[in-house]
Formats: sequence, structure tokens, C-alpha cells
Amino acid sequence: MGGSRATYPRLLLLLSAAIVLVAMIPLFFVVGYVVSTGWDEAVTLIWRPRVGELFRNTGLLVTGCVGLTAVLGTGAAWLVERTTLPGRRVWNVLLVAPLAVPAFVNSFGWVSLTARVEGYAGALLIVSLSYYPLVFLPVAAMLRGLDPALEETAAALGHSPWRTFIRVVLPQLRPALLGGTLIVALHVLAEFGALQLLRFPTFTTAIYDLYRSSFNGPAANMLAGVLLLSCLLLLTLELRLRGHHRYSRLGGGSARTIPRRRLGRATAPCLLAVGGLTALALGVPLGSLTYWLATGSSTSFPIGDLARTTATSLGLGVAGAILAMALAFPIAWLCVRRRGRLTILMERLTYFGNAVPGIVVALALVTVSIRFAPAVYQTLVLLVLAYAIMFLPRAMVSIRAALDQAPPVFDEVARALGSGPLETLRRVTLPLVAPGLGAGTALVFLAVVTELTATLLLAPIGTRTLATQFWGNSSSIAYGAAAPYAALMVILSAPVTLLLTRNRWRSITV
Amino acid sequence: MTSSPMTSSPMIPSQMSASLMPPPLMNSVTVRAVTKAFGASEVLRGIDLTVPEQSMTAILGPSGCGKTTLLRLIAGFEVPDAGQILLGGQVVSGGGRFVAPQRRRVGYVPQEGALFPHLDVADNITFGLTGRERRSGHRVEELLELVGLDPAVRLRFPHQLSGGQQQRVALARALAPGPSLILLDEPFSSLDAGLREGTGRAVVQALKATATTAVLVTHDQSEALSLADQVAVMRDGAIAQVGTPHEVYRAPADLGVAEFVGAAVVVDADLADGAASSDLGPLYVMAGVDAGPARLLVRPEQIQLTGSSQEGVEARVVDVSYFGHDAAVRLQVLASGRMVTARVLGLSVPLPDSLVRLSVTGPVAAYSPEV
Repeated sequence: MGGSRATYPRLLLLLSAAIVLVAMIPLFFVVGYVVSTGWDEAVTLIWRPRVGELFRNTGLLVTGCVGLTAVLGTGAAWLVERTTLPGRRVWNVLLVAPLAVPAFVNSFGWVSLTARVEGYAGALLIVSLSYYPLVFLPVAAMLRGLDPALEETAAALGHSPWRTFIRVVLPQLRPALLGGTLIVALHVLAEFGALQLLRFPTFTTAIYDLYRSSFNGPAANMLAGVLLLSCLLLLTLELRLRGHHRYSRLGGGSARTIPRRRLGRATAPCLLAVGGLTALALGVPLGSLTYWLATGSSTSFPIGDLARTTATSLGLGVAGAILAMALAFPIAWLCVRRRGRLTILMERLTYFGNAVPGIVVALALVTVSIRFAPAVYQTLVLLVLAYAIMFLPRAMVSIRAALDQAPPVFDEVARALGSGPLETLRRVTLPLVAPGLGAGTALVFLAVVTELTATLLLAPIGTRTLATQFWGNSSSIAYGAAAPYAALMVILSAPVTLLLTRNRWRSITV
Repeated sequence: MTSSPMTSSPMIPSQMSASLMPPPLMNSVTVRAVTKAFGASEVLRGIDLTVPEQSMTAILGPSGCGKTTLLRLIAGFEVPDAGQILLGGQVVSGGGRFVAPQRRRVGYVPQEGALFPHLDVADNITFGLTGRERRSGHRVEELLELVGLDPAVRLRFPHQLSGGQQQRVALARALAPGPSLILLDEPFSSLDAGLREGTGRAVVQALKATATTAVLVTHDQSEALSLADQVAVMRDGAIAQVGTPHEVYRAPADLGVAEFVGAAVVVDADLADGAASSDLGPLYVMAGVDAGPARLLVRPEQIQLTGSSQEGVEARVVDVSYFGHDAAVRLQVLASGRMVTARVLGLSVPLPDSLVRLSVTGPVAAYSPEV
């Protein structure tokens, strides 16, 4: 045995490299397509008024959502973490809960009540209501970890609370705030279902429509290229910020409790604000679902159909989660235990998977499978592979967090106490990482069950999932018939979402 | 630095006797010419060390000197590039042999204890025992008692213990399988100063009670001097000196070691017949250095102050750091202007700006001036 820390186990390294290549299929597809199309053709495909309109729509929506989620997420996080707001624990859960309602279910809830939410304003409001928890979670975690001495020092230097917030607190929140809003931006770029229902066309919905109408036309692929490029740009930005982020959380988990600001007479308005936010983000979609379940004229409970669909979704969720975790494990293990230039590169490459929208993954897999492996086209294998590719980064983050629970020193102590490598794995490593792996599997499972875009494109004919059944019914305005499927998705998501309110899992972006 | 670190040092009896010792006994550790590099950086450059059985040896050195790597090599977590490591006379690393850590019967107590967070105290302690011994569990109370803990903690989980308690449980866990050797990697560095001494003493008592050989890695001089039977001072991947705590402190191999193991006042003087006259008055020099110019090591506690007597050198008190039990007094010698620090008992501390007379008691170590 080599003993030196820099050596990689050869087999594991090869396996990981192969997995990274599979995960990069969408990227290869887009790059390959653009290159084979040629510059002139690409320009004519992209330089059209329609594309300009899409570009404007998408840009307006992304910037609007980033601004709105930043305000909503930071405000709510500050109220919950730093003030004497009554019922903070309940609000903490309720403010994260919208993550259990997929954005397309949320917009269904609104649009089935009133058509007035169609268009930009409605899309901005509803998408922001769905995604503000992605800002709330990191900002709340950051606020909790801030050293109260900094604010006390500012106060001692004569700053008013408001000036202290602007000059001391906000600059420290910047990494969490920018990181969170960039994740929001990536989600908005990739969002399909919600915007389709709200009739607000963006790149993603346009690609879907082009694909449906002209079946894999060059225009769709080229737009996918533009979309992927925008996402990659945003992610590069996020990655750079994350580098600073780690340093800015020095001495996290200070034992001192942070003094909370007394709200006094502002209590009622503040309660009204978080209450209103919860009502809009959670109350409206859930209320609307309940309404359609109870009274909708098209509501019928096809128990057999619901059961079969639920079973299919559960099966796909489990298969996708297990495959994603299995593919991510060797890479994550190498990254944690054999940190080196090569493993960092692999980690970065898989991380870029975060930027690839489901629609691009789906388009890529359709094209690549028809061309190279027609046997898997229109099979569940391809669909599960798509899930695994899409959610590989999420699985990686969970496994890394889990492996951090079992640092090598525990292995060494066990070895010194006479345990061989296998016994150490059984008695020390696995018990330590199992909860983390379980939580990671649950998170990927949640993502698969509520995934719509890739499922619509890749599900073999006759395969019905909760998401596709919901979509089929809601887009044909059979709201009552769509409601039970949406309700089942929310019920399946709720327990996993609760995990995110626990401190340990806050860092995992959804 | 060269392979022999003691070119210009006073006599160090134990280092000479180390190589002349009888063949290693059951639980001794012998390290012979061990080297280790990580990539381009050479961490250990030819280490020779003998740890006599049933004693505690402290490896003392600043961070980055390679002391932890040496410990990991003895444990078997790393493989030496060259040289040999013997446990109880058996080669465990080197010469084509490598015994896996789980077969070395070596107890390991890492920094901050590293108790298994998913197991309670009892299960942590019995981790290294066989299945049957584990189930009977009667060793747990004995071991807890040994390390000075209330048997009631057996059902607690690591996060419910204080830092000192965690360290004691980690030691009990390492002692449970009856190892021939215990390796302690900075085990007290994470503890508060108040806890450190008590925990250290409890550890030494438990090791003595079980007649276990121990190697303690530390960067804390007082910890090494107060706990160990033998101190090995490490510097830049090599051993600078091995000796009893007293030897290492009173007769350091060179001035570098002297300044690392304690506060030092260095005086230049001419030697003749084992004595020297300096601006601190007459000094009596330990044997081993020839006549001529030399540098002398005076420890602050050797400097005695008197208020009125006519003996000694006149000095002015610049300032005083009062610690209660004792005090550090910074003085300026009037004749030469030299600043020295004296360590005096807390009972009689002079006032700043007062004039005192100082004299040096006890023999001082001498070094060639080129060092």
C-alpha cells in the first residue's frame, strides 16, 4: 500500500471519471450541436425578433424575481431570527413550507381562481412566492451565525439600528443573499410548468413548444444552447461568491445567543406581513387545491388511477434517488477523502450540472439516445437516467455533508482499536453517514416526484406520473381532475421539506 | 541541520545512553533513521528515538516540526519512506515489513478525543473489545474509575460530556484492550488551562497504574516537562535533544532548544575554571565547555533580587507582571544597560522604578559563541 495521501484509488477514479462524463452529456450535446450547425446558421436561428422577445421576457422575469425574493427572503429571515416576533418556530416552518408546493402547483392554485394573474405581473408574483425560501434559508442561517459583537460594536460607535443593519449586517449577508438569489435565477430560467400555465413565454417554455410542434427542430436546440449559456454564466458567478462565502463564516456557531430586537408596537404589522406572505405563498395554493378537491365539477376520485399513478411516481422517485446517490457517492467520497486537483475538477464539473435545466437534459437525452442507443429511447431507463443527471449535484452535496460527519480520525481510532477496514465501515462509518445519506436520498426523491419538464418529454407513452397526470388535466382546464394529483405531490413533499428547516440540512439548495 | 544536533552542547547523558541501552523490552518503542516526505516537503529527516517501556515520552516541538507525523508513523497510519520502527523489539514498519494499525495493539488518543458520536460512553470504551467482553461490560466501570470519572457517565453520549471528560473517556477507550503502547496526539490542547493540568495528571496516573508505555505529542513546554519521564525536543523534522525534563530544561542541547523549552537570558562572558564574570555578576558554569569566550544560559528564576544588601549588581525595576503565585520582573542593569527578566515569588515583588540588587544562583549552561 502506498500510504501517501495524494494517491487516488485507481478503480474509483476511473469510475468517477466515467460518471462525470455521463453527467456532462447535456453539455456535450449542446456544444456539439452548436459546433456542427456552424456560426452563420446559428446566428440566423438566434437573431430573430421572437428570440429577442423571449430574451426580454426572461431577463425581466429573472431580475424581477431576484429582487422580490431578496426582499421577501431577507425580511422574513430577519424577523424570524433577529426580532421578538411571536411564534418564531412556527413561522420558521411555515416560511419554508412553500418549497413543498411545486411552482407549477402554486400557479395552478392561482390561475384556477383568476385568469388575472396571467402575464408578467402574475408570473413575477407567483414565481417569487414559490422561490423566496431559497433566499430565506441561507440568509436565516447566516443571520444566526453572525457575531453579535459586530452589531454591538456598531451601536457603541453611535450607529442607529437601521444604519447598523445597512452598514454592518447587510454586507455580511451579501454572500448568502447573492448565493440564494442566484439559485433563484437558475430556477426561474429553468421553470417551465408555472410559466406555461401563466401564459408568460420564456426560453424554457418556448423550447418546449418548439419541440412539441416541430419535434426536435434546430431552433429548439439552439435556444437550449442560449439557455444553457445563461445558466452557466450565472453559476460561475455563484461559484465565485461561494468561495468568499466560506471565509466569511469564521467562527460559526458562536455559543452566545444573539439579542433580539424588541418589536413593541411594530409587532402587529410584522405579524401581518409574515402572515400575509404565508397566506399568499401557502394559503392560496393549498386553499385552491382544497376548493377544487371539494367542489370542482370535474373532480372525481378515480381511486385505481390515482393509486397506479402514485405507485409509478414513487417507483420513479426511488429509482432516480438511488441511482443519483449511487452515481454521486464515488465522486463525493474522492472529494472528501482524497482531495486533490483531479477530484476538485470532477467536483466542479458535476456542480455545473446545477445549471442545466431539465428541458436541456431531456432534449439532449432524446437526441443522444435516438442516435447512439435507440433501444433505451422511450424507456423508463432513459427517464431515470435523466433524473440522476439532473439531481446529481444535489446528491453530491448531501453525501459530502454526510461524509463530513465521519472524518478519517474515527477510522484511525477504530483501526488502532483493532478493527479491520470492513469492520470499521460497518461499525463506524456507516452508522455515522447513514442519516445523511437517508436525508440526501429523500431530497432527490422529492425533486424527482415533483419534476415536470423532463418527465413530460421523456416518459414513455403510457407512463403516467403524478406530475404528468396533473399537467394533462390542468392544461386542459380540468382543474378538479388535476387537484388530487397536485395534493398527492404536496403530501409526498411535505415531510422532506420539513428536513430543510433543520439546521444541518439548510445548506442544501433545492 | 546536520545529523548530530549536539555539536556544541553540554553533556547530555540520556541521549548517549539511548544508543547503549540493552535490547528493547516488551513494550518499548524504537525508531531508527526514519524519514518521511509528503510530495516535495521533507517532514522527517532521520529520526532516532527510543521510548523505554512503562514510561512516558513527550515529543515536544513547535507546530509543523513533524511530531504528529512521527506519531502517525508509529501508529501505522502512515508508512515511513526509509528506516525502521520497532514495537517491543518486533519490526512493524520498514525493511519490507508493514504491520497494519489494527494489528499493532497500539492505543491512540487523537486531538479532542474523537469519541464516536453515535455510541454512548460505555460502547465507546468497549469498542476495541471482543464481542463477548463487550456484552459483559464489567470493564467499563473499572476503566472509568481508572481515568477518574464517575461510573454514572457510562450512559451519556459524547456531546453531553465536557472536553476534559471526553479526553478521559478517549483514554479509557484506548486502554480497554490492554495495548502495549498509548499514543497521545496533543490530547489537552483543546482544554481550558484550568482543566489541562488535572486531566493531564489523571492521564499519567492511569498510565502508571496500568504500566502502559506512552508517547505524548505536544507543543506545550510545561505540559511536556510536568507529565513526561523523557522529553524529545523536535525541530525541523529532526530530534534536537532527548533527555529527562530536568536535563532538557537545565542543560539544553543548544540555545535554540533552551529558548523553546523556557524563558532564557543569554549572557556573553569569558570562561575560566568553570566560572565566568559577567555584567550579572559571577556565574558558575556546568562542566563541559572549554575556557574562552562563551554564551551562558540563565533562567529567570535563577536571578535573585535583594533590596538592601551590598552584594550583587545594581538594577532598576522597569515593570512587573504580577501573576499571584509569582511575578516576572523586568530589570535594567545600571552598569551595562542590559534588560533582563527575573522570576520571583509573589510574596515579595519590588515596585517599578525602585532600585534592587540582583545575583544569579545555581550553575548555568555554557555554549560556544558561534552557535
